[in-house]
Amino acid sequence: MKKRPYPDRTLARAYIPDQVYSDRWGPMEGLKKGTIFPDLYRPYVKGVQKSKPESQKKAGYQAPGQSALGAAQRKGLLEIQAIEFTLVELNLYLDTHPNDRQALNDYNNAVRQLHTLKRNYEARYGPLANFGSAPSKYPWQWIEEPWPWESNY
Amino acid sequence: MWVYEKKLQYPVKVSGPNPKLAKSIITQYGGPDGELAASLRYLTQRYTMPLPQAKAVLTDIGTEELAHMEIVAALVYNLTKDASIDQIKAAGMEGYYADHDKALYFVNGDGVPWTASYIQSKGDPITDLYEDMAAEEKARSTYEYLIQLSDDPLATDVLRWLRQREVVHFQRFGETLEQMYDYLNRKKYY
Repeated sequence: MKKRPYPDRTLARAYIPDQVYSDRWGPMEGLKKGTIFPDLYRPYVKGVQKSKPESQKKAGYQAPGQSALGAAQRKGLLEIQAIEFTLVELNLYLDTHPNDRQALNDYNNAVRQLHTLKRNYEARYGPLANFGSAPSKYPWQWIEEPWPWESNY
Repeated sequence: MWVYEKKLQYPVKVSGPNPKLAKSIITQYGGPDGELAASLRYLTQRYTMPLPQAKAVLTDIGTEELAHMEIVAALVYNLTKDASIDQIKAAGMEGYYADHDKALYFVNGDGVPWTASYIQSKGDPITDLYEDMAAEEKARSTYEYLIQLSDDPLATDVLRWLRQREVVHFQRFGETLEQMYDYLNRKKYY
């Protein structure tokens, strides 16, 4: 009888290699790239066109009369977006690798960082989430504009 | 239960009104391989998964897809909000406008409304995980086609970002599949 070429594998099913925790990008770079893991980074190249460097990117337009976040608030929010994105990535990794001590350590460190950033942001600008993330000044801050889908948020 | 954070997962900016582009991008809002389909699929499959990591992965990715749905909505909203009637007509968007003005609605690029037929929740955990992996690939491909269609580099940046997320999700579902196979330890393979 002919020997099967892959004795440790079976037919009629797919195999996906397990990710090993190795290199990671920092929060800002991870956020820009769409993953903190270089191992999972798969840029799409449309023909020979590569994405423009940051300096050439135009600023978004703003419709007249529309409220926008101030520069300081936008910066504060971007820092939170970056750390929280790292946490999303680590959370998903830990879901399938619950025994990875280093990843868990990194997650917990980032949690502490995030809570500090959020505490400071919410003290200045009001609650980031509904249903009790932080107290509100008077009048009720949660309804304040702009909402996230409004341009230049 | 769900909590909403008042920020986008990734910032959205566009270069200007572009209802033509919006009309294509809306498929990732209400189309067959869009973010609504993804999030509802994963969130509804999680109830009958036998492994804790599968429940976690489906809950977490399902939640992240709701955040992506919001990003797609922000793109469509910003690409249409200042469009003139002439621009709407030039984009072939009169049909949509007549029914919805510039409001967001769950349709694909041709106005076909969303349906639960886009998703499956089969119960068999292996089957469901293959469905999820396929869904991530379909979404990735759709983002690639949208990137090809896009003439706004700011919008393209967001599309690239969303596409990269699908790659990561595929890997997580694949890892969950491996762990599910190990757990079930099946002797018969179909």
